[in-house]
Amino acid sequence: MESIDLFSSLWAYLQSYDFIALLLKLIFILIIGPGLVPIMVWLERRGSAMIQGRMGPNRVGPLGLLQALADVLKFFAKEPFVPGTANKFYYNLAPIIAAVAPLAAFAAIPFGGTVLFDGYETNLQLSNLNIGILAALAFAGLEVYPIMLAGWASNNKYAVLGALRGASQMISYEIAMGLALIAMFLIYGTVDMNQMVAWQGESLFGILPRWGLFVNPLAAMIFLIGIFAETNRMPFDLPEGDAELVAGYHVEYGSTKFAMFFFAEYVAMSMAAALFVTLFLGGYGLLPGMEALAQYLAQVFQLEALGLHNLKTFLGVGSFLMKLCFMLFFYIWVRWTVPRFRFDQLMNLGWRILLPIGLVNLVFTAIAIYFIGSSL
Amino acid sequence: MVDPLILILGIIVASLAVSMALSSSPITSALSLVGLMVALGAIYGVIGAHFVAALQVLVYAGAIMVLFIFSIMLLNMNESVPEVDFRNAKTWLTGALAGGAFYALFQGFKHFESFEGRPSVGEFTLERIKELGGNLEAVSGLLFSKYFFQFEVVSLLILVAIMAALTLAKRKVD
Repeated sequence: MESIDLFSSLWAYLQSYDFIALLLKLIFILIIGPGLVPIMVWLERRGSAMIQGRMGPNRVGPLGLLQALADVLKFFAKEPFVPGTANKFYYNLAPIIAAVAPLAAFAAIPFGGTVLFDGYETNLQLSNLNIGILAALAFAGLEVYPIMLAGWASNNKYAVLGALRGASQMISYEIAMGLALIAMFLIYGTVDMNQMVAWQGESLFGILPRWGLFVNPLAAMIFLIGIFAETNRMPFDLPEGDAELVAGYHVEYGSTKFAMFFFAEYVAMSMAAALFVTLFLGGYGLLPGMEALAQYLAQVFQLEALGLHNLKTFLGVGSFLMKLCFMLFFYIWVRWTVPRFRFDQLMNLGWRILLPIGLVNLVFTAIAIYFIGSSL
Repeated sequence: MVDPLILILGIIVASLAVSMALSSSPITSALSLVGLMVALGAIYGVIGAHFVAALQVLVYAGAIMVLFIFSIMLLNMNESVPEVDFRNAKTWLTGALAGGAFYALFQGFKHFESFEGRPSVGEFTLERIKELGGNLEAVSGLLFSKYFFQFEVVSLLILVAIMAALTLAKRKVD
């Protein structure tokens, strides 16, 4: 009897808007997380070629667009090789954690406002927890394990060196990033990312949008430098520094497992970019000029208040994606512009420059908020 | 009736704890502890304590255990520690003592629950937390009002601990 009840309630749940909304959001996350990877790889190749005055891949498909697909095929067709001296279990576990952790962090990031449909309202965010950004940070913090595990389990000195570098730089920069974040929490007065976006929706001095970037540029700078170090991107890609370490922590990985590391790196990049966009670039708040566009479209299509709300949400998702794509292009731009740091320079920057700046910035932010309040 | 999700997570936590204690390789022990922290965080999440769950993963799994594994890797502790000898009477005696202590503890909890009709649920029920605006608000509200002095004392203690570690690690200047 009980089992029938369970099934019927499960069936009712499957037909409810809750479930459909959840499913659609899940698909969307899977599109902007992993789905962006092939586009990013293409952009990276063509972008680097553009910056260096080369052609880039242009044989597979129009503009070389299918190159990423060809790469994936190549990875999957190769022999899955495990070095004889490696610790098999951890060697295989590392790429799995690498792929899962940034995807889980994505679940907590809102990518749009609310959708109203048939009296049903839903947030465009997979899990709307009241701890907000802390959930994303908790999962992002687990990204250091695959690097350490891969390096250690490969039983290769280059891999271990890469893993040690990766772990130490990720821990070091997390501190400065945390200080920048605390300053932003003080300003926003919340850790809920939806409320942060709402706060940033106003305008500053009547001309600029009140984005975190303009309110506290120092915190934005520290956080931006931090995410480059956290995602092991140029100029901080020392864990993989190919001139010294061949390929760093994943030197012993091939075929599908290497592809998973590769994939995880790009998902982690989009996740960090999405965090930056939400914290400092107004998240899914409309880009300047989009408000007018929404009003104009509403007039053209004669939308009611409900339709206008949904249209604005749609444009908000568009704004979020545009900001995200700009950030992703920014990664590529920096990578092919700035040369790699030396490891001692990296540690100096993290501990002797960013950490003190972050502390001073935090104190000044607190004092400023005490005197002028949040009336900014 | 226990939530089946909590039951599954509980089994995972227990088996990871056993693997942590019995494993002969230091890195397996440390990684079991990481998995244990994450699964414990999941249990906190299931019962609605999201803030504690996030802190559990962020602080224990994301920071403290990284340092553990970092030092294991750095010192290259590959030699395995002696395995637990199940034929030794001492092992069984220790196990029985620890088990008895835990049994007494659980009985104590059960006793406490019915002690003078005191409710087993404290002031902060799920409704009360919702009223306050969430877990984070409830915890920080207490931390910066009722427990402010204790909070500051703890931060001072941590500072003292850092200074002690620095003094110990400092190289002697000739």
